[in-house]
Amino acid sequence: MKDGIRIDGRKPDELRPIKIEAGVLYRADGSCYLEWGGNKIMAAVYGPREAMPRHIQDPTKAIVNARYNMVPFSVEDRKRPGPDRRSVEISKVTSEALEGVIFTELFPRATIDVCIEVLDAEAGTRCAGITAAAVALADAGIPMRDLPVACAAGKVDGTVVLDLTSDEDKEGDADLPIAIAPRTEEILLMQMDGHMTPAEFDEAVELAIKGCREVSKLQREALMNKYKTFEVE
Amino acid sequence: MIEEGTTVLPGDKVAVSEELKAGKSTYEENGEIIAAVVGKFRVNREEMSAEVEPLSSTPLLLHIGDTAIGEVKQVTEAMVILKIIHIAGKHRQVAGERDAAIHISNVSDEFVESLKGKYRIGDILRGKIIRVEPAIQMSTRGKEFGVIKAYCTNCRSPLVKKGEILECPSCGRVEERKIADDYGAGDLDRVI
Repeated sequence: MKDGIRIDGRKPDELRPIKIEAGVLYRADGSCYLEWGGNKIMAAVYGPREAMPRHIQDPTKAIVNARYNMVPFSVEDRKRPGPDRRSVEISKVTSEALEGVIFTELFPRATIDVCIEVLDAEAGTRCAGITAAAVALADAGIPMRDLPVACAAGKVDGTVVLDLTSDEDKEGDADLPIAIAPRTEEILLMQMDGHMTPAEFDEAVELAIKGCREVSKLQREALMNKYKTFEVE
Repeated sequence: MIEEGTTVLPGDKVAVSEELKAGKSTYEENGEIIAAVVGKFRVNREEMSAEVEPLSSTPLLLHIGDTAIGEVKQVTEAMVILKIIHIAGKHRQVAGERDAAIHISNVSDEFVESLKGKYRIGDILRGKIIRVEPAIQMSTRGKEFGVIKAYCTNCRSPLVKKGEILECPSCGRVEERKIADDYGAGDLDRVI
C-alpha cells in the first residue's frame, strides 16, 4: 500500500476486472465461464437427476453436490490432481451456500451436481467459483430464491481492502470471503483467516457486500446477454 | 407490477401479493412476488397469478402422457418393473424417481394371460406414462408401444424381427415379445 494505492494499482475498494459468460458448454445442462483478475473458472451444472447410489437420496428434497477442483496447471507449482483437504472443504461450503438459495424441495430423490473447475488461480477462487456456479445454475433453469454472488475483503498493511490478489493474500493480515443472496443480503457463506479487530471486521463485511453487489450486476449482464434475444418456445 | 414480457432473473421482484399470487416459477416472500428462473414475466389472468416462462432449458419432470423409453429390470406375475432411461424429444435426464411399472392389464390391447412372451429382463421398450404419483405407471397399449430392442435369452445378442416373431441371428433361437411397430429402428425420440 502506498498513498492509498495497492500493489496492482487499485484503490482499496476496487475490484479486479471480471468477465462472465453464460452457457458455454453444450453437454452440461447449464454452464458458465468466468475470469476474475488472474482467475479462470469453468462451472457446469448437471441435473436435477436421480441421486446414485440410492442411499444418498433424500425423499424430501434434492441434494446439492458441488465439486471444487483445481486443475494441475492452475497454480505455479504443479498441483497434484485429485481432491485434497482444501478442495474438499471448499466443495462442502460451496454446496451449502448454493443449497441456501435453490428450491431443493421441488426435486425429491434428485441430485444437482455443480462442477467448478479452476483453470487458473490467483486468490479468491472460492468466491469466483460460487459466482460462476450461480450463473450456471440459472442457465440450467433451476428454480432459485436469488442469484447468489461472492466476493472477498481483507486487511493488508492495516487497511481494509476489497478483493485481495495473490500477493496481498499471502502477505496481508486477513482474508474474509463471503457469499450473499443480493436481494436480501442474507449471508450464505462466510470464512476468515488472519486477524481483524471487530471494527475492521464490520468494515470488511460491509466492503465485501458492496463488492458482491457490483459482481452481481456483471452476473445479471451475462445472463441477459445470453437470454435477451431468446424467445419462449 | 412490472411490465408483462420483461425478461427477469432469479430474485427479481415482479409484483406484490396484493396484485397477484405466486404461480409457476415464482414465489412469495414478505408480501412480494419474486421470480425463481430466467424467463419472461407473464400474468395468468384466469388464476390471477404471476408466472415466469423459462427462457433457459428446464429440469425434466415426468408428466402423464409423456412417451418414455425404459429398460426392463424385473418381470413378476402381474407387473413389469423397469427403469426409465429417456423421455422422447427431451435432452435432459429425468429429475428424480425413474422406476416405473407396467401392470399386466396395460401391456397390450388384447387379453394377456401371462407376461411370459411379452417382456424379458434387459428389453428396451417404449411406453406411455399414465400415472406419476405416488408411483410411476406406464402403458404399452397400442401398436407404437412395446419392445424396440430385445436380447436373446440364450446368448444375449440382439434379436432381429422376422414377421411377428424375433429371431436370434447367432444361435437361431426364436422368441416372442410385445413388439413396437418400429422394432430395431432405434428411434428414441419418437413422440406419440
